[in-house]
Amino acid sequence: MTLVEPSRARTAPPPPKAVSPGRQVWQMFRRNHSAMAGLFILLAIILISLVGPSLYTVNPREMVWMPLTPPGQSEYVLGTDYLGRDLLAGLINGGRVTITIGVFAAVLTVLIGVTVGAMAGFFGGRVDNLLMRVTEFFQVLPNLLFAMVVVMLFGPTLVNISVAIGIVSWTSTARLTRAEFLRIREMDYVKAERSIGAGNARLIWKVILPNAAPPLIVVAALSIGSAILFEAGLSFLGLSDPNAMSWGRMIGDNRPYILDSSWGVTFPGLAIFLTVLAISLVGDGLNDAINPKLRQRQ
Amino acid sequence: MFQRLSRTFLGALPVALALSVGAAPVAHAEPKAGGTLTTFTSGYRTLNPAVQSGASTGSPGSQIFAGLVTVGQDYKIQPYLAKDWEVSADQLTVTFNLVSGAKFHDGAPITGEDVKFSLETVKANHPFGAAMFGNVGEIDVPSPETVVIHLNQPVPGLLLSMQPLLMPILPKHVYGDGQDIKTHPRNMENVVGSGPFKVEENNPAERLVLVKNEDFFIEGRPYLDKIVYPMVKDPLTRVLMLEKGEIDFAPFSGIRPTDVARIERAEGVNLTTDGYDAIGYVHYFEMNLRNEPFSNREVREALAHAIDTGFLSKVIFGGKAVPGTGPLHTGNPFYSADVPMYEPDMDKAAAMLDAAGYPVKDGVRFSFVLDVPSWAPQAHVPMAEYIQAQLEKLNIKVELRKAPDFGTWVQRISSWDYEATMNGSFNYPDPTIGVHRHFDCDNIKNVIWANTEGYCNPEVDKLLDAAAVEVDFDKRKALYAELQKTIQQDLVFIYMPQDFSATVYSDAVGNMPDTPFGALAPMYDTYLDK
Repeated sequence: MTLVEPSRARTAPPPPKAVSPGRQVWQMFRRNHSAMAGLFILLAIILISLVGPSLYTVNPREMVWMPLTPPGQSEYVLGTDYLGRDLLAGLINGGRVTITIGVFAAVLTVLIGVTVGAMAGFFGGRVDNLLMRVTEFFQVLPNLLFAMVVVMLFGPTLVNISVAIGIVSWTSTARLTRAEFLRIREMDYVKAERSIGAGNARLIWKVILPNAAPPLIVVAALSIGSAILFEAGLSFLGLSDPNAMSWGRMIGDNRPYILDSSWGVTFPGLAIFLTVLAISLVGDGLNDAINPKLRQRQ
Repeated sequence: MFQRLSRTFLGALPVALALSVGAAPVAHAEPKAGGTLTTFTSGYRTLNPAVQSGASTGSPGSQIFAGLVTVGQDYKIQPYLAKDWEVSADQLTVTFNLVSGAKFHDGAPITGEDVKFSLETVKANHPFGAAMFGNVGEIDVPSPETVVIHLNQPVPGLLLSMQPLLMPILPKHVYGDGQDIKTHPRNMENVVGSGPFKVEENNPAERLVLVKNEDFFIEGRPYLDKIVYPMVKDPLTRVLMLEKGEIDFAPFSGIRPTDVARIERAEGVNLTTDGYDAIGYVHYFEMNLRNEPFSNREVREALAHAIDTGFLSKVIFGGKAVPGTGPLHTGNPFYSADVPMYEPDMDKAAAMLDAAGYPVKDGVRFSFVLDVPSWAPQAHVPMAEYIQAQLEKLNIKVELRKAPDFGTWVQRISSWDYEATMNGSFNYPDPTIGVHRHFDCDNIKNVIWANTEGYCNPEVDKLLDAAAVEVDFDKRKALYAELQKTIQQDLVFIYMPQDFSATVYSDAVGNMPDTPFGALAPMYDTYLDK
C-alpha cells in the first residue's frame, strides 16, 4: 500500500505554477503598447540625462555663440538662448536637474501623504479628524501661491523648490491612503492578524500598507510628472535655482524673448512635454496592470 | 494667428510707401494744444519727489511740482519759477527772483517762504539732501518774490540741483503742519503741486491721471490736456502696448537691447537713448573689500582681466550698451577716459591669482556668493551669469543668489553681510550727489548706495573734498579726472556696461523731452500731433 503512494503522487496533475505578483504585473504591463512606448521614452530620457553630459561636453553655462541664434545656423544645432548659451547642452544637462527635482518632490509627496493618510485612516476618530482638518487646510491654500511664498522665503535652491512642491501636493495622496486604510482595516485578515496580537505598527506597515499599495504606486508615478510641471511653472515665474540648469529655468530665462526667438522656450518645453507624457503613460499602464479589477476585465 | 499675420502684412504696406517717398522722421509744424499723452508707471509709493529719489516718483513728480530752474541741452541752466538769479563774487550768496503771480494748484500764491520751506525740507529729508544742500546756511526772504541763499562754502552744483526733480517747490501751507513729511498723507491724497499738471486721479495699483493746470505761471503752457500713467509692470507687455499704440511715450522703458530691432520695425514707433545724461545710470560688480579674497587688490585685478565688459556690451547687449570705464557715466560733464584699463586676458588672470596665493586646489581657487538684486534684472542677470561662467574657467566657483525682493537685497548689502553683488546707481549731473557717496571714508554707513564696500583712501577723500567746493569748471574737471584714475587704479568696483536706458515714443509726440533730465524734467513743451 505504501508503495502505491509515490506513483499516485507522480500521476497527479502538477500544481499551478506560482507566478510572483511582480511578474504578473509586468506581463500585463508589457501587453499595453502605449505604456511600453512611455517606458521607452522615459528610459531614453533618463539615459540621455545620465550619460549625455559626458558625451556632449559643451558647458551649458558658457556663452558660446551669438545670442538667440536660430536652430541649424551654427555648430550648435538647436540654436542658442538669450545669452548665447547652447540650448542642446542646456537640454542634456537640464534633464538631470529636472528629473531629480521631480523624483525628490514625488518622494516627499508620497512620504507625507502616506504617513498622514495611514494615521488618519487607521486610528480614525480624533486623530482622523485632526489630520483631515490639517489636510483640508493645505488643500484650500492656492498651491502655486503657497509654493511661491515658500521658495521666496527660503530662497530658490533645488532642495527648497523640491520641498515646496512636496509640501503643497501631498494632500490628495493622503486622502487616497486614508480611504484605502478605512476600507482595508475592516477586512477579515486584518482582524485575524490583530486577534493573534499584532501591534499597531505591524498592522499599519506590514498588513494594511502592502494591500493599499497598488493605487499608491500609480499616484507616486504620476506625481513625478506633476512635480516636473510644477517646477516648470515656478521657473516660468522666475523662481528657479540660478545655479542649476533645469528645463523650467530655460523656459523662464527665455520667456521675455519668445516673440522673436521661439526656439528658446520650444525645445525645453518639448522636453518637459515628452517627459511628463511618458510618465503619464507609464502611470496609466501601471494602473491597468496593478488594479485587479481592471485586470479581470481584460 | 491669422490676425497676427494680417497685421504684419498690413504693417508692411505703409512702410513700403514711406520708403518710396524717402521716409524722414515726421516733421511737426507748430506745437498744438490739447490731447492726452499715455505713458506708464511701474508703481510708486509717493508723488512727492522731496522725500523719494528715483524715476517712479520723479517722472510724475516733476510734472506736479515746479522747480526754480530747468536744465536745458548741454546742462544750460534756464529760468523756470525763478525768472533770474544772481551769484555773488565770492560764490557764497545766491539771490533768486521769482516770477510774479505764480499759484499753487489750490490757488494760494507761491512765495519765497514756500521756496525756503521746500529747500529746508529737501535738505532734511531727501536721500541726497545733505549731499546737495549740506553747505546751505541761512535762507532770507526779503520780499515774497525774492529768496537769498547763504552758503557756508561754495556749492558748484547748486543750480543743477534746483530743478524740480531734486528740489520741488512744495506748498508750506499744506506740508508745514508739523507732520513728518516722509509719511505725510498729502503726498498721495489731494496733492497740491506747483507745476504744469494737477493730479486728477491717483490709484497707484491701477493708474495715475494728471490734467493741465490752467493757471500755470508760464503763459500758453502746458500744451497737453492730460497725461495718463497706467500701471504696467512687465517690460514685455509694455513693448506690445507700444506696438499697438496703447502707449505713446515710454521713458525708462526697461526694454532690452534685443527688443530694439523689433521696436524699430514697428510702424509709427521711435526709440531714443537721449534724455538720460543727467541720470548717468552705471552698473558695477561690487565686492566687499573688508574680507578675503576681495581685500586683495591683485585678486580684483585678476577678475578685471577675466571679465570682458566689451564682450558683454557687444554680444550680450547687442552693441547698445556702452562699457563703463569708471565711476562717472560717459555722458557726465566731468567724465574722463584717461583711466587704467584692464584688457581681457584669462592667462594673465590665472597667473595673477596663482601669485596672489590662490592656486587651484582640489579644482577650486576660491568660491563666493554673488548677490543679484531684483530691480534691474534685464541688466544684472545676464551680467551675473556671464561672470559665473567666465570665472568658472578660472576655477572660481560663483554661487548666484537672486534676491526675491528689493528689501531683502537692501538688508544684505547695507548691513555689509555679503561677499559680492551686482549693483548700479545714478550719477546725477553733479558728482557730489551720486558719486562721492560711494567712495567717501565718512560715508561707510549701513545705508544702501553709501560706501557699502568699505573703501577708504585718504588721497581720494582729499580729492572729493577739493572737488566739492571748486567753482572753476576746468580745475574741478581735473580733480575728477584724477579721482577716476585713482578709483580705477584701486579697482574699487569692476565697472560693467552702462545701463541701456531708452525712451520709446510714437510719431505723434512733439518736443520729446530729450534734455539731460529727459522725462524727469517738466514736460510743458511737449505736445501731441495726432
